[in-house]
Amino acid sequence: MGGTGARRLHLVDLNGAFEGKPINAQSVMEITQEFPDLPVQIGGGIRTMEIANTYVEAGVKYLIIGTMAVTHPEFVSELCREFPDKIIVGLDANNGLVATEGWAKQTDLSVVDLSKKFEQDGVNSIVYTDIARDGMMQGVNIEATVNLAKQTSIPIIASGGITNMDDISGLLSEARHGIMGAITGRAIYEGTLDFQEAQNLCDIK
Amino acid sequence: MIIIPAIDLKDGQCVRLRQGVMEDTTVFSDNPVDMATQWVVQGRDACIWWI
Repeated sequence: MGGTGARRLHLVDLNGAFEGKPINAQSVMEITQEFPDLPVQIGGGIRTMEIANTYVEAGVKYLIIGTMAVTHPEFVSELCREFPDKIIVGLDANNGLVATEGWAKQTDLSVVDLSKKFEQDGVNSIVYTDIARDGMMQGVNIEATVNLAKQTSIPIIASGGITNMDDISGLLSEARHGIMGAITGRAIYEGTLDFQEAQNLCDIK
Repeated sequence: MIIIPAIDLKDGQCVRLRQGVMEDTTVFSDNPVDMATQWVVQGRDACIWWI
């Protein structure tokens, strides 16, 4: 099979996530200008309607709301009304409990309970990141991801820990429960996972 | 499922963190548009040459 390239990109403004405002917006906008037809999702520092609007006007298709979804869930409702089908909630979890503020703070909120609250808002999807796994190349937490997918009607995008084709196969075998995608970072950069091989496997299933 | 390449931006560079720790950073590129191009246009074999 030939390479078709990525159908979506996941961008994270890390400085933005820590500082609560966009810091790398210029880079994001350069990418959307270069690839106007490519769906791009961006997270990190989207904490006001104005920031959200700026990204949407710049051609960003999906906005990922992390910390604010936990501390101010009504912000998600508001965004979903203003930007239907463009809002993704990004939940970082450790042992099933939500973490915020660029992972600096651990809450006692259950990721499943919080996810259910967003069902009525029309959230497009949930990016579920297992903190303990992220960037550690130890395999995705399939059990926790599937558990969340089963317990909410919102499609789940798996993130954190994806290392090789075993992770992709494992997620694919449970995708029917509502896992719509998988974000991969370190694995494709370090070469333990071939992006195109992974996408091709998804396409034939 | 769709596979979604991640590009984490820190100080205008493309990086990866370990477990969200800002100080534990690996820089993969200093050009985010080039990095995006690698994934979108080429897909296969992208970025291996960065490291």
